[in-house]
Amino acid sequence: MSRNVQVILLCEDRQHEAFARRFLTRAGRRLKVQRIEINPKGRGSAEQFVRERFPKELAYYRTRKHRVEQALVVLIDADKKDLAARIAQLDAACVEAGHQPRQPDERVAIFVPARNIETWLAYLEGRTVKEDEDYPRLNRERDCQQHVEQLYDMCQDGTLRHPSPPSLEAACAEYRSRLQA
Amino acid sequence: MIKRVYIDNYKRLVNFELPLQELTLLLGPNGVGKTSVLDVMFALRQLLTGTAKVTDKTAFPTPTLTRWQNRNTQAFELDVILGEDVLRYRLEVEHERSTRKGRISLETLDSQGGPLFRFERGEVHLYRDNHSAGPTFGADWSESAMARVPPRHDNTKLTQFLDFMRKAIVCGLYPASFETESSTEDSVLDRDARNFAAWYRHVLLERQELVPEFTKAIQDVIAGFRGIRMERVGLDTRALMVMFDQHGERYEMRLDEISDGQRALIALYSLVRLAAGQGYTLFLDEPDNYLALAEIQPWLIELADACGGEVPQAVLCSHHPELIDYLGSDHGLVLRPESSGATTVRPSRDLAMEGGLKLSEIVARGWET
Repeated sequence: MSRNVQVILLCEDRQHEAFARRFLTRAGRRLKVQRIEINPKGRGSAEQFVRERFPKELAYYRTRKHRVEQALVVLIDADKKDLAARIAQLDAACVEAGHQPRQPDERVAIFVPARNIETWLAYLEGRTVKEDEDYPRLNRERDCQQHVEQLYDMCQDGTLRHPSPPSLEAACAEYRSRLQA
Repeated sequence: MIKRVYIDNYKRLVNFELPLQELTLLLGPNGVGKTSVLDVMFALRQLLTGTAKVTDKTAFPTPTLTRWQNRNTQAFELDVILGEDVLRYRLEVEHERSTRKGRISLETLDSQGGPLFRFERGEVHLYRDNHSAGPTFGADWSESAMARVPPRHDNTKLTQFLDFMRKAIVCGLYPASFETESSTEDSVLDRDARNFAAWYRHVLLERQELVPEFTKAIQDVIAGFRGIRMERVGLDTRALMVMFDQHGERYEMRLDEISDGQRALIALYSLVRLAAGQGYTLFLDEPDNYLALAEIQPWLIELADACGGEVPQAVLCSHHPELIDYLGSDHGLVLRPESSGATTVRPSRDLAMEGGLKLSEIVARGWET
């Protein structure tokens, strides 16, 4: 019987999906993406989708916490907010839905690229980035493979290239504490 | 990859244009012609590999003429990107309805700069890669003359096209028909994949090094799966055995002893993992059949990742919400019947709308006709 950790990936768009999935595959550690929940195109705000869906996914995670090796991985862009504000929004969405916010011992990782995933991609291409600026999209989502390799190598070494975006530093810490531990 | 398919006067497809991407999902009501597209691809593959004559059941028999049309000629075109070239293959089949006889009235292959091959009214005109005219000779109208052209140093584009068509896999898996024993190694998978074991033997020979990763992928989706081996059961005959390691016991089952769903999973992961890097273009009819709900998206993810790389192109037909929601917004094309009877195509993202509905939920509320 497989002893994989079943990962549910909740994210805004295909670029999030491609990036997160490739990183998890690269990281190995039995993390197997079982299910992707992504904002359907043309269906309103993508971050709103993640915010509204998060309490349901967290509640489901808890119902089988003791029976299944599982993880919930969330990607939501900071956009014009910051990391703490996005996490606070997700916590508030849980409370509003009648659930406890995410707990420290839960294998629930929330990654918040600031300003968005393109900021991280630009950094991983070797550019110096600012988290309040916009950077271009990749032509094809799958082209992020090389960026993922870069990130994985830096994560393995334990340090990001300076100056690094604070949101990516936070994401690496999140990965180590919530998924790698 | 194939970037455009044109079909005229075939079943319900009249003057029908289909643009294709590296990964395309065909949607639409039953009877609109989704499977007919795959039938045409299969027929062209059969013709161009020289395994069928033009009016054979697996190619273009006269009853495939559109019933409400009075015209007796069918036309098919493929625009194929091969390296730097865009090749256009055109086939015209002329039928006689009363006798149900048919023949190829025109078969051509062109690249941007000019002709590479022409077969018209029984006469073949060969051209070199630089489009200069080569020999001319007579050929049998009942079959593809191009399929008989041997590879040469100065017809590499034509040869490349034929090789591309040989590597088109067109099938709707019917696991109950899978034959466990095979005495050959088949490079071509049947329309219902009944010769899966023989095809597996072939790909195994070609890409032995891919087996560990393939095995690992199946282990993730079939509990207790350990691997596959081909057991000798006759002089040249091998049986496909599936090995399990479960409840502390190791045991084996023949392919026809495992469940339909397990057979489908093995076949689907073989198509993505073992056919990888061999240039196979996949045309799959309802690949979700027989799979459990939780098994569909992980396979789709594998396929989507492989498309455009290890698997050059895949075209899927499905009604399943999992496929519609995962692929529909970026890769979906809706085939829809017009009042004229013809079938037209539009991107399925056009169906998406505000209001909180998934694409599959929109589709479930009925097609706009």
